[in-house]
Amino acid sequence: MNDNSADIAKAHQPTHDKPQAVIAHGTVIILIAVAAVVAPFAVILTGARPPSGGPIWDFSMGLGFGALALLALQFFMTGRLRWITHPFGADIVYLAHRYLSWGAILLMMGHFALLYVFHEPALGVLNPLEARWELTSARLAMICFLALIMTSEFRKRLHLRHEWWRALHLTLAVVGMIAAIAHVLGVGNLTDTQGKRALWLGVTAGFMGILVYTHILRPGFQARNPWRVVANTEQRGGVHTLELAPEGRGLHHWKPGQFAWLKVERSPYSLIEHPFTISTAPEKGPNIAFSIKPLGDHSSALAKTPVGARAYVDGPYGAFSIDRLAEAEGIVMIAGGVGITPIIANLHALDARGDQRPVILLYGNPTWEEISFREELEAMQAKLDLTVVHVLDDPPDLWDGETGKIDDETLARQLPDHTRDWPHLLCGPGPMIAALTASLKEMGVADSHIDYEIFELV
Amino acid sequence: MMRPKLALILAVSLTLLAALLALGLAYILS
Repeated sequence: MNDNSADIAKAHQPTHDKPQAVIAHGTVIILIAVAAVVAPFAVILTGARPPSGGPIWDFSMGLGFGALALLALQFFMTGRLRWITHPFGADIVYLAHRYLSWGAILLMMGHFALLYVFHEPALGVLNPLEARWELTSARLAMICFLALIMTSEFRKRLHLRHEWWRALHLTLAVVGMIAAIAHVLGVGNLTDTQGKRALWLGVTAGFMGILVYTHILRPGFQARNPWRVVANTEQRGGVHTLELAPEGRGLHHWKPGQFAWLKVERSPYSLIEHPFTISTAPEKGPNIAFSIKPLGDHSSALAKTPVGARAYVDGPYGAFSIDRLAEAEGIVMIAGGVGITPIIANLHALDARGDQRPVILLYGNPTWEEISFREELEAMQAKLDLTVVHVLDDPPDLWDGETGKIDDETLARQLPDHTRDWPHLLCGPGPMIAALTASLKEMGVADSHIDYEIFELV
Repeated sequence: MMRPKLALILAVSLTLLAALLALGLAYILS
């Protein structure tokens, strides 16, 4: 390492995420989420006790308020707020959003079903021209939220393009949430005091604030801090590495193995963006690289990006990083094809830090010639305590290495017993991850020692 | 992999908490 790169490494040297600090941070966020669910109930019960409408009526009202509290949380979970995503990883926050949306819809349907069965006259007529507006508002909210779930769970089957889905998701969420809050305030049950009304107006301000931040302020920051594509290099295996140089402020507190949402030659306000791993390590300087394999969709267009193109980067996010593994004695990494990118970033970081902990990398590819970063890995083997095991579908003549797909037998042959307590970082196609996770568990690797990133949720 | 389980546990717990609080509200009011 020369003096210049040593300086860069020093400047970018991230502090390891101490496990206790990550757990404490995550606990605080979970407690805030719990408080957000408790808050409406606490506010309802402050001051003079409101009159009862009977136990089923009151339970139904409670379910409605609970649903609304969960819905409000969803905006905070999907705003890509780094303070919230940091301990869990952005993928897990999105996953929790998906699960919690089912919880919210269940409570909402419960609220409606109890009234429909036991207090049907209170629902009035269905015809929006004759019905009370605040009840029509509730029906509109329910339609929006049901449509949100359906279009998300079945996006691919509905042949809904990702960007259209995203625009629809945003519209339905905002319309649904405004309709739901209008319903609560319009009906006026248990919102009869100024304090109770203030709570729901506060919730409205909160979720609108998140939207303004996510869709106006943050893209505005990106507009002032664009990136320029300075190289587009084709690697083995058809992977294209785009190198980007910052024209404003670069990435801040970025960890190896993290990812960012990338927009190329589009407005920073565009909803068309895709997450890619940053395949370089922070220690290598302010320029970042994304390695993209053209797979016939948006990635094919991105792989052809010309040098000089303007890009916007929203990141960094993700917890797939050796910075979370300060206490590990060694690391097992398993990659399938282009899944090598976060692993390369982590290996570069080990290299830049002079970290000599043993690493075993199992790397599956179709052929010898298609192994992306093959030479880079060879160079790193000379500097790191790195064992690379290539697994080839279609090996060349005289190949005496592993063949076929990485499976339980490959794992048993290549991973000695003493590696069971090491962290295992997996990155590759979904079915490969699922199969290998099951095999590793059967071999005695604890669940907590297996990690991967979930990229495609809808 | 612990993280996806955490997402599921969190979502189920928050939903159950909201449902329990709704029950509690009904109990207190009536």
